[in-house]
Amino acid sequence: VIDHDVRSPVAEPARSARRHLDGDGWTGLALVAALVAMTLVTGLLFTFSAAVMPALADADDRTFVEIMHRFNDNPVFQLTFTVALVLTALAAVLQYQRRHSADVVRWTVATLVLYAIVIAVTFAVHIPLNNDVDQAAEPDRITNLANLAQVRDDVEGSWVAWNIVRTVLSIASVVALGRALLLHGRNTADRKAGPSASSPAWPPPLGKGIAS
Amino acid sequence: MIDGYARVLTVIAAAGAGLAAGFYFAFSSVVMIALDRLSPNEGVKAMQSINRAAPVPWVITCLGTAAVTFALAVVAFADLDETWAVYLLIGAAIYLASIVLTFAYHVPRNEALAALDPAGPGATNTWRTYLTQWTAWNHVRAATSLAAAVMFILALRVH
Repeated sequence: VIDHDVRSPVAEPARSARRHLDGDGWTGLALVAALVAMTLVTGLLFTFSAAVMPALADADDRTFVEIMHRFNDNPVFQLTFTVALVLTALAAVLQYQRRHSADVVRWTVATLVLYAIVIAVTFAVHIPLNNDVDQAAEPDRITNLANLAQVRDDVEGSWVAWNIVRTVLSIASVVALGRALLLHGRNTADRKAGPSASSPAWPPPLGKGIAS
Repeated sequence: MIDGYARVLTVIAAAGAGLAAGFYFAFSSVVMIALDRLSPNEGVKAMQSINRAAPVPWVITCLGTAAVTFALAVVAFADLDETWAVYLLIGAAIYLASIVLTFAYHVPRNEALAALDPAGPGATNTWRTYLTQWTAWNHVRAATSLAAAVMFILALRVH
């Protein structure tokens, strides 16, 4: 059992930030989970930018509207987006509470800012466009070819262009969060090498049994 | 702790495997479900079109990551008494399994689908079989890539 509230007194100012690290297990876990969720979101957006939307460019108007409508019907987008946001925010809060070194906090906050723009773009651009698609896909309108052509014309260009913006920002979020995790790992290693080492071995040393 | 160029490669592999997992995840959780609800004729045409567009991004992300992963496996193999090396080796093995699965399972079925006439006789049955089984094995690709990403991230964090 680890007492997360014990904070060792600080002697050297240069290392003070690092010595304040406590409860690294949980912060590290939150960062790892956030990074995994963030790469999933990025992969999802990337797939639409690079594979799905270019393929739909060939489709006729009715197929385009029907497929987009089916995509919107699916809660996975919202769910994954929310999980990534919650985990990143959790990592930031844990770091703040446990007085992590400023560099880790800075990169985590940078991730949150970048990701907030991804979500803002989603609300400002994609959700209104998706609503237009959903209206055009109503049973009484789906046969109206002129309307389908009009909606597709209005939706496709902006949806695709802003999705590329979302993808790039999301990749930047992954990079920033990866940087935070690297710095966090490095700080933890420094601290473990120092006299105040008290954290549990997490992740566990898998290699001991296999290599020896 | 992993040092130097191996550390940079591990970060790239972690992000690449996560991106690959997201790529497969998009198909498993959104795209195939949408295609399933279209008429078989429309579904086949859409998937054929996706299969024409997907190889380039797939090669860049998934196969690119595979190359990095392979290099890491060699580095890890040479340093197997280190804890991180074991994580790296397991991650590399899991990730490369997803690539082997793609070439062994998905690519032949995509080629068969490309040759299918959407309006021809038996197209509906072929499409139904493709949709169910392709998607099931795609879940496996998503899960293995995600597991590999986690192993790479953990490799960065063990000491």
